[in-house]
Formats: sequence, structure tokens, C-alpha cells
Amino acid sequence: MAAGPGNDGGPAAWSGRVVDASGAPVARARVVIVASSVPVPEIALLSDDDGRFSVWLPPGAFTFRAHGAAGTGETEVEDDAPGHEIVIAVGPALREEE
Amino acid sequence: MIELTSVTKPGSPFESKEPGPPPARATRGHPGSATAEISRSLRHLAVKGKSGPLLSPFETVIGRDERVRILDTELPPWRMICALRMRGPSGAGAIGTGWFVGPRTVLTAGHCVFSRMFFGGWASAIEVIPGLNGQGAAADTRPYGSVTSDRFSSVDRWVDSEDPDFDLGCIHLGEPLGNKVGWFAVGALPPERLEGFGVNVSGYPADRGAGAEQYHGRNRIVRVTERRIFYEVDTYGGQSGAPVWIYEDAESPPLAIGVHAYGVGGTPASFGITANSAPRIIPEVLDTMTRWVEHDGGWPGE
Repeated sequence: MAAGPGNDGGPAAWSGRVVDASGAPVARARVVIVASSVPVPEIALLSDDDGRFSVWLPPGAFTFRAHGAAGTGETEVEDDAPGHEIVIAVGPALREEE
Repeated sequence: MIELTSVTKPGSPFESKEPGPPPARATRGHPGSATAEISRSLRHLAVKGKSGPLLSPFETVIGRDERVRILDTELPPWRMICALRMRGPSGAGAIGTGWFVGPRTVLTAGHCVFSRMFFGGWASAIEVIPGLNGQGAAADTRPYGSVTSDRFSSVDRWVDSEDPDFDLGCIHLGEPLGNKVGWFAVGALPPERLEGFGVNVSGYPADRGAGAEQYHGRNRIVRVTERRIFYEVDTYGGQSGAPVWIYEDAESPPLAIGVHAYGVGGTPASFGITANSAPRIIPEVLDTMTRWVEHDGGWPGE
């Protein structure tokens, strides 16, 4: 599963959302790319008050993990994701110790 | 040797191309003017010299997690390490780690100040919080307050191509907070001197304490290349930009030798190792960093 390139073959803009089990946005979640087919730095993105974040991805495969007050969740980016959107659902099953 | 050219965010009062000073091999650290109490965490956790423990190999954080929270972050060297709160032009937020190398200069990973992937280019503003110690009230968790800057530098090889070997950046501060919290000595050691050393990495991971608690890991260097150091120290997203430091012997002060930037995904598969990595402090990096500090007013007495 690979992220598609932008129109020029370079990084493509993706929008992301972190949501809880009910679909409600999770604000101030930390979002990390934990696996990828290309080197990705160990930075953490923060979701905004609406649970949203943005990222520009080069071609490749990526696994995103989010950590929020509601727990932890993961999702893999697929190249046919509609609208270049990443949705990460977090839940208590993987609730982190905070 | 590749000559590195400093690249400064447009609008910052720094030249984009500068003549370099004579090469230096190490800069001197300073413990800071705040309390000189010795950290208990330091006594118990830091690995020193080449005889330190070789722990089980860790991936970025997979399997057993050996990171330990630092509670006395108001003491050196922990207070020299800063939580970073970055913001991009679109308002997007991110967290990372940086560390003082001079009174007004914080070294970090290049992608914390410039990243097409995370900011679409230069960051807009970064809040620097030395020794952040939890999510409570600022008076309790920010022993030295914080300062926000919009003046950053990186090197041309990072800004042009985002090559992981050149993932280095700098935050220029308007006030000399480093005089109070201190700064790391930084050394350019040849590969043959680095191999086998135990290394320390401490920063602000996103998976523990919401990026507001400092965690330390230690283990041994497993490989050194021309521009990178590879080590089996547990790290996680948010620790980008953290110092990678050694103690040359039991009595030596901390000596930073790299800037943590990548998890296991950044290690070439051809190496056949599971390790995290940092761009090395090599002579041209040290020279570039020295110019950044000098532009910020330099070190006292020099």
C-alpha cells in the first residue's frame, strides 16, 4: 500500500483526522509515522481542536499512529485513499499510560 | 570534505553564505548559573565511557522499552534539553526536542525547523521549553520558563534535498536563557574513537506523558559512517533533535556527538542492523554550529 505522488511526482498534500470510537474529533493528539518505506524523521504532529493535521507525503507506504486522551490507534496509508485523507481512530484498548 | 553552507530562514538577520572560521574539534560546555546540585538521575542512568552496558537491541520502540523518565529536569544536563513546540505556516503543530549549545542557540534536527513533509517548508515559530517536566501548571512544570523564536537556520544540503545525513537545524533565541540552564560541549570525534562508546539520548517522546516529560535511554554505538551514528537506544517520535552524548570517561563532562533524528526506518537495510540514528557532529558541522552561536553573540569570554 503506497501513498501516491503529487501531480509533479513529488510530495502530495494529505489531510488527516484523529477521531475516537464515536467518530468525535480528538484534539491535541500526537501523530507519529511509526513505519514507512522511506526514511521518516522522528517528529510528532499535533492535531488541532478539530482533530485535524496535515502532512506532505512522498511516494511510499506509511503507518500512522496517534496517541490521545482516548487511547491509541493506527492506520496505514493507501494510495487510493479518497481525497488523500488519513483517518486514525483511537480507542481504549491500547490506552497509553499518562 | 563537503563544505556546508548555512541557510537561514528568509527574514532572519543572518547572512545566507558566510566564510568559515578555522576548523575546531570541540566546543566547551557550561553547566549554567542555576543550581549546581548534582542530578541523582545522572548518577544512576547515564552510561559513561566504553564499558557501559549493552542492552537488548531496540527498534524505534518495539519490544521492551527501556526509557526512563527524568524527574529532576531542573538540574544539568537535563535542563539543557528542551521540549520544542513547532508551528508551521498553516498553523499545523508538531513537537520535537532541542538542546542548548550556547547562550542563545539551540541545536536540533533540521526537520524541526525546515520540513516539506511536516510544514511545507520553514516552520513559522517554535517555543523552546528547557527542562519541561509534565503537563501541570506552568509554574510547576517549566522550571526555566520558555521562549519563542521565529529565527532558524539549517544547512544547504538539508534545505535543498532533505538528505538524512544533513538533518541539522538551529533555533536562534532573543534572550540568553542558556546562561541559566547551561549548554553542552560539542565534539567532532573521528569514527575510530566513537565505536564502542555508550551513548545517552534524552528527549520528549510523544507516546509518554504527551510529549511533556523527558525520557532518557542509553546503549552502545553499533556503527559509525562518514556522517551518521547508529545506536541501539530506544527513541520515539518527538525525540527528533535530541542530543546524543557520551562521557569520554567517568569524570568527563557530557560531550554531544550527534543530533538524534531517525528511528529504525532511517537505517539502510544493507547494514543488517536494527538501530536508530543521528547525523554526526563532524568538523564541518561543528564549524557551522560555531558560526550560528557566534551570530547569536557567541560564548562568553571568547
